Amino acid sequence: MSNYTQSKPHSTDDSVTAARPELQIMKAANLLLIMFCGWFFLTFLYTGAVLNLSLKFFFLAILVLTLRRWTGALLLALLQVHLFFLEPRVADFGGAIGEFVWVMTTVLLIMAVSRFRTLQEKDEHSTVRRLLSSVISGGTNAHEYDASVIRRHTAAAVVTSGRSALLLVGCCLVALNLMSLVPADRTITGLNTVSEFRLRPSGYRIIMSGLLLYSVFVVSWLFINEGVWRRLSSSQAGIYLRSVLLRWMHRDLRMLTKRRLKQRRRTARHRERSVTETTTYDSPETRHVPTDS
Amino acid sequence: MFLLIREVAGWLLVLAALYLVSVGIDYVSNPEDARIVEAGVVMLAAMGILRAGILLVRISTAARICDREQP
Repeated sequence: MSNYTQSKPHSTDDSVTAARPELQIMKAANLLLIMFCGWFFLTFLYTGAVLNLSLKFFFLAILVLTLRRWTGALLLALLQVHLFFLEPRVADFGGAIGEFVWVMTTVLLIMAVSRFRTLQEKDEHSTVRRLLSSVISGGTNAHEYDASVIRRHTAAAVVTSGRSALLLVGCCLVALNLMSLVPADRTITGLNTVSEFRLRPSGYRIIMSGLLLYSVFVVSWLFINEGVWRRLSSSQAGIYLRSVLLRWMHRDLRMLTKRRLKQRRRTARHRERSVTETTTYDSPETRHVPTDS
Repeated sequence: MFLLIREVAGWLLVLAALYLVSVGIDYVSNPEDARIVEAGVVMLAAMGILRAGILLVRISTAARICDREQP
């Protein structure tokens, strides 16, 4: 119990004291990145669509909920919807530079969301609350650290930022190459998509690149996951087997439990009724008291 | 032996699903025989078969691990 209290403090003062400063700073930086990318998408996303404002609010809601529970896949799906219907307008927005900015912001958003969620698992304190309390107190809550600690954290932050920037550039180049595999104005095979599928080439491009990405993802996910799965310990394997068995038996178990509950309820009702009848019979109002007269 | 048969069956299902994925891509990319809606249906079926195959493989792997550890 004492360990739990130490690892998960609840009061705000304790939480601020016990929070790891480097995690809080990284979380705040990722939150700022997410806000910047969110502002970019809310400005340019679905521009020209009939349900422009509603779609933007929907995107904002998904973005906020993604920070708490969901994965970035839903955000990617919304961006796919945007590209499918409105990509020619994106291409008009600044040409190749616009496309690069678009791809970079998308990758940056997904990266920041994933990083924020990972940091949130390590440190569950609210970044917004901490920032607000720091602003309200005028920085008086700030801790003082010696030079070696500051130097170590700064070096770690620089290394992490450099690695993230490299990853971002790599992902952007891969994404741009993937998009150039299927050209926007025509298809590789010279297929006339408008007459064949009633689709613009850009829409066809999204479907085609999505399918290619999906197949690559499925194969790589399959081999990586199955490789990891074979390293399970026997207790973990036992838990998995029991959970699968329980899932398969769930309907039967639910049926049995419901039937037993119904029987118990019926028995309790009968017992209650018999008790009520007995008390009614014995109650002083209904009992006939003979008088002497 | 029974677990091995289950695992082989699971991998066969996974291979069938991957074949269906390739069929779906072929439906979309082939200009001679272009079918978008059919490609969607085939991909959905592929996803279902893939899930079933992976479930079989995982269960048989977990059962084999438990079996191996038992004295």
